[in-house]
Amino acid sequence: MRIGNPATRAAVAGIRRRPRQVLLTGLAVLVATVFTAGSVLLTETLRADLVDAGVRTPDGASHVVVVASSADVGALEPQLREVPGVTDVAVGYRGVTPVVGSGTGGQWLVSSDPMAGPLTTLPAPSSGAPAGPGQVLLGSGTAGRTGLAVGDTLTLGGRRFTVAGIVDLPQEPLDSLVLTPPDAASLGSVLRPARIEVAGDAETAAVRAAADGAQVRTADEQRAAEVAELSAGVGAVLAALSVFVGVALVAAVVVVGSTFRIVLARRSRDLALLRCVGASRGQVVRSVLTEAAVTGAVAGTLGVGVAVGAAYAGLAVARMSGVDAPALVVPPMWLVGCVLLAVAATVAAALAPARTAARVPPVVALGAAEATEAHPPRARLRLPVAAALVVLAVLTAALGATGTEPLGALGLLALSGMVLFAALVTAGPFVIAGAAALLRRPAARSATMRLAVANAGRLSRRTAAMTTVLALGVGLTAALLTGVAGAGASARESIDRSYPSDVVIVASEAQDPAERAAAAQRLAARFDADPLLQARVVGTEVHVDAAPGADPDAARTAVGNLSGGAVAVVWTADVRAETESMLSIARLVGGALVGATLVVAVVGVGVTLALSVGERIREIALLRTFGLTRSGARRSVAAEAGLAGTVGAVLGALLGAGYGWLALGAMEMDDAGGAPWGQLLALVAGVAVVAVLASFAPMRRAGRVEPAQGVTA
Amino acid sequence: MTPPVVAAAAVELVRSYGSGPGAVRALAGISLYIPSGRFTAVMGPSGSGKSTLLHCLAGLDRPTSGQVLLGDTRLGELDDAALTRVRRDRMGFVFQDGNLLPHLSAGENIDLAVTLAGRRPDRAWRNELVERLGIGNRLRHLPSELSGGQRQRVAVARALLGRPEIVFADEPTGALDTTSGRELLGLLRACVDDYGQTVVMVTHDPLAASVSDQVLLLRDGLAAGRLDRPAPDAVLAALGALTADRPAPRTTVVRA
Repeated sequence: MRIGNPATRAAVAGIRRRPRQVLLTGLAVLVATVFTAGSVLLTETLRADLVDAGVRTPDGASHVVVVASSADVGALEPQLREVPGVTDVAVGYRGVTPVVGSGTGGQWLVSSDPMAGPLTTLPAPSSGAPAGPGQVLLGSGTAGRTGLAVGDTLTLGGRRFTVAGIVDLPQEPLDSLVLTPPDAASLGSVLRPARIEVAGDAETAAVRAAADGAQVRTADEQRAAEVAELSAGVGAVLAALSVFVGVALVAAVVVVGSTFRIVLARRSRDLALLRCVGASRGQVVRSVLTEAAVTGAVAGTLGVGVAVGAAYAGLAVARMSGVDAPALVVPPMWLVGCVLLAVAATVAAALAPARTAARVPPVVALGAAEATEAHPPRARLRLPVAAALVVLAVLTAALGATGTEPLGALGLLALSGMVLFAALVTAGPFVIAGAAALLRRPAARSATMRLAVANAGRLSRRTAAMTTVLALGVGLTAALLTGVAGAGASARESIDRSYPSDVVIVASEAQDPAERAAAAQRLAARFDADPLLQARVVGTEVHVDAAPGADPDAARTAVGNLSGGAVAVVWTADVRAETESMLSIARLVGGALVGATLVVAVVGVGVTLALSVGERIREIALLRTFGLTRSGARRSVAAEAGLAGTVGAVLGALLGAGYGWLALGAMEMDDAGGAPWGQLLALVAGVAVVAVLASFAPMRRAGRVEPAQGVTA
Repeated sequence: MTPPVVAAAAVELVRSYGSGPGAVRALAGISLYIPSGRFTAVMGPSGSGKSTLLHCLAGLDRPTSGQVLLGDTRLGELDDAALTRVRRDRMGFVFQDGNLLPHLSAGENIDLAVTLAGRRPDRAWRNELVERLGIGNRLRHLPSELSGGQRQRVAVARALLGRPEIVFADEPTGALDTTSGRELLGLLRACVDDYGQTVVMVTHDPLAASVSDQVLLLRDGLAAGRLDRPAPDAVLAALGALTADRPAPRTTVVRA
């Protein structure tokens, strides 16, 4: 391969001969790319699946009339039937409403379907028969969850329905059932008519004329609109994910930059030789950047491969365990984009180290000087910049905290967090040097600890890189934990306030408050007649509790039977359970999102220590000749990892909790009690332990060093 | 013999490290010239400033004061980029050891300076060099697969390929056994004799210095004498005189 100048060729040849080193350098980028590509695969698969399942317009439809209210439907339906060429018309109803039956309860997704003819969207029932009047079809997932079977009865909007069959529905986000359009219409305000589907070969103009000004779309237009709407939702998911992808990439850039610094320092003699025999600084910089590009391409390709493989495996496992998993969508252009992003990130990371490396004095080639971190970080340059960044971060945070618009305030806080991270990266070496100076006295008793502290302080730049990235990962996690804890406390409090009883029922939708109150009174009287229930009227709502000692299930059934005609029946226990499950989903999804950054950070600790130990073989050997034990050598590496881990985790936890608290304030949830100290403590301890575990390989290597290597290496 | 043309010269060269009372003057105002087409050896006890002198002459280090001339170019007036070009196009380097890039083959290492300049090596000249240096069959090998003597011969080929005005050698035999060292010195000598190459070599080995046309002696950062066509014994005696703090011999010893 003859590319570029010989300096570049030397760098590329070096990669070919030491592929392991490239992997080590690019590991952080690899992890970040797995996350990037994983996000792309997730959203594209989601998009395909949603579009696949979410396009509701039946193949037999020619036009769809979008209607605004139930009042229109009664007049429109017969008019549309009269249009020449129209063979069938079906009103589509949809709503979320409580359904009660044999011990089940909660909010169901209820929709209508003509059950037969060109406008049905349902396949043949997997058991039972299509629903007739007074009958419903259950989604197969719902049937599995609730245990309801053909012939069982359900109460819906005060009416009793029999389960006629079970059918496969494309989506069952909630428990779902389907009934006939006439039954749906008879339930009154419980369900909303959203659209009228028309079959046949009528002229669009004729349909439009019959629609009385309601919006008319051809079926194709309607499908396109549905796809666009669904894709917009997925686009929002992708946008949210890309924020976290970006953070993980920033973390990877810091880690890889530090790795390049170490690798290039080790190669400074070769680079000096190049400079000596006439390579310009530009040629040296270009050689390093080419190496970075190759590293990024390799790491990116591997990362994409891992992501695709893991996605296939994950979906296969899901399918084997019976989950209806969608087919994986692998978008080639997006994945090429992921590799390019990895290349760009790696090259960006190598930029500063490459410039430093090109400044190596040519005399170094003659063995005049040996240096790892040639220049100590320049305090005069870094500290003012860091101070300015801190001020900027505080100002942005103050602006965010006093802001009135929650989303804008959150954005400002996120910006402030990133600026503060930049300040930490800039001032990191001095923070580490300071921490090392502080720890020097307490560490003085143990030789291994003293070594670890000395090494961390001496190579403050690389220790700072691993620490700051760790602080970023931990900070995000801490902010998430604090935010979720606060939001949870606030949600629970608001539930307690709004739902003081077991059930809250809205009796009427009438415009007149007096009429609503009267309806509530009538309903309350009906409930009170039941010995299982106690009801009282609060404003226009009926609050119902189970009588002391009454069986909760029996009370639930009684409420279901007696609440016919009510607009909404809300069980406090359901709301509570739903809130808790949403909180745990938030914690899980958030954890997965910030987890990538945390993984990148831990990889950073492992890689940095691996390279540092490789560089320090002679020194460790020398210490071994002076009587350092094998386990002592190992312990000093572990102590260094633990030191970086603890400093990074504590810093991150404090900053993250602070920002989480500010974010809660911005969303006006500041009365939620206290930070989740237990969780934060566990987080710090966990990260410190993982950092030590990540140093396992370098620890072993340090332990294997023989004293003789100090002389010959 | 016609007076030699000057290839390079140092004029009142001072190089001090550090400042204040702790400052060390490695070069204390030395003036000398390197004749063109000759083999010059620089010798002196440890700390005499011979390495610093070489670094300054080669533009690898900047003198605190004084001038370095390469031909009629004043190195002190050049910026880093220009100095890099001068090193690339007008100088050659042979160092003690480990001065080949480990991941490039011997052949690629030879072409390094020329290709860095974006030029193609002169094929005929390159073939003659590798034949003359006896490394024609080693060109595809990596430095780690070569013996120390072969590595140094690759370095000599690299230094000569661009037909530089001057070749700097810093203890080129330092890491070699006696036989390989002698061979290498013979080759350097032949380069001067056959191609008219100018060579400046820093060494502490009197035997190495004895192949040169002239030996410049240094002490405490100043020129301390000069021997023309010296025999090893004469070099040894002159060195001994330097370290024993006696006046340096002024005699000219002509080799038989």
